[in-house]
Amino acid sequence: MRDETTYLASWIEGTISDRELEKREGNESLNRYRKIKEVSSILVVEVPKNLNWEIFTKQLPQKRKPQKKTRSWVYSIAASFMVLVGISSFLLSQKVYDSPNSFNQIELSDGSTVQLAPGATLQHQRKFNLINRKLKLTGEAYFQVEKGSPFIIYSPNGIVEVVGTAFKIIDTGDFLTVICTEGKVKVTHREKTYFLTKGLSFSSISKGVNEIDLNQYTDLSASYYNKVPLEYVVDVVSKLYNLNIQISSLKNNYFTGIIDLKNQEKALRSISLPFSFKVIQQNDNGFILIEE
Amino acid sequence: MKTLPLNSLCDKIVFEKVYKQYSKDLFRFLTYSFQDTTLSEDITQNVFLKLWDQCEKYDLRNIKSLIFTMGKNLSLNEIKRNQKTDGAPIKEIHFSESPHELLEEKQFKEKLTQSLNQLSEKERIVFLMNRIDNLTYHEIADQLSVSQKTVEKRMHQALKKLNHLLGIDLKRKK
Repeated sequence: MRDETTYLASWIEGTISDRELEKREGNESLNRYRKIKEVSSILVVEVPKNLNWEIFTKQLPQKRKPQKKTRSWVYSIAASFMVLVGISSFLLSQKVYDSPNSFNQIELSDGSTVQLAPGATLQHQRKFNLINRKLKLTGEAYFQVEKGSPFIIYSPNGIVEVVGTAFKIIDTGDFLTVICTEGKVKVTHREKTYFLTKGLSFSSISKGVNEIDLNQYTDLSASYYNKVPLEYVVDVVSKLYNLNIQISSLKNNYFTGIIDLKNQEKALRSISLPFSFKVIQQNDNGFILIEE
Repeated sequence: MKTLPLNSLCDKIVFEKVYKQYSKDLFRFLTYSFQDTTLSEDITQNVFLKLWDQCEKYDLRNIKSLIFTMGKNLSLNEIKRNQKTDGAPIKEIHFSESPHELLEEKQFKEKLTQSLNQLSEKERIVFLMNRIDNLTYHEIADQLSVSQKTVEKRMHQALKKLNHLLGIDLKRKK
């Protein structure tokens, strides 16, 4: 005995025959039901093109990744952890390079090379390859980047984005400079974007783009600086030669010139002569630069 | 460093999969319910924009029912708002034309479309989910959170009404 309240549902599914339906509903109705079944099976509701993923995805606001959102406090927590515990899960998920007292050449897993200046640190997630290339830098580094997906460097004062090129960054205090020696570089500083091509540099002091003498930057036996805070350069020299150098000056000096990487005396002269500093040696490693 | 839990909706690849799996179903479901493709399109987009915006709040395990509930609620709100301003417009589902349609089929389709309007929303949804989406009664019951028996009853009612409405229509012609 068929259920009186559902037999049509059974018929359209094929579990009740036409014949049985005809007995119940008569020939005229059967024909109509058949027509309904037939025509309703060719009904199509077209889905608008705007709902295609490729179109819809353009409307999606970029998700700020939690890494970015929490960068500042993650940094501070990680820093405290490093001091207190020495090792933390943060460190385990990161690969960290540093270069305490030399210009250190490293090769990244995507084939790019980086020369880290004394005191600089560079880190990226363990998973770093041609597709995922995001790094964090403090201090100074010269990058030669393999072509691939965007290579993005987050430094405290800015974001530097490239595809395949060579450039140098110095980020110290609130100072940032980026020097492009090959290809193209995109720099974001205080929400403004600057594009650099070969032979151009950005500096946070001029807040603009300037031409540079490329030859000075390609010589790796010396380090060339152009209007970089003197304090930073003195710090580089201190680390490089394991010295304790203090400056006694009230001015904010900016250094332009070459620092010799092998000769301590030459390096000391470079940071004192242009500013007319008197160099007083206190002990084996201690020097004071005094404004004359 | 904070990382997303595996398979989080905030992961764009996961989100894309969810979108591709459910957006069209949602669009059609809303169209069957409210017979308004413009509204269904807007609401479908809004549901997924909202999901993306608050992705960290949602659990992937019951994402499907969430999507349909959100879609329905947003549509009802929208309809209420429109009714205050425009009054209730008469809506009809627009079915696309197939190139091989015979004239006779086309005429019958038009009548069927008009008759579908006169079904209750519940009957229409079940009928179209079965006929267009080719879902079984069991699958429809699952999606609507009702028993299979209820679905079968609604289908029976839908067919009975359609037969009746089309029958009157034909008699009038004679």
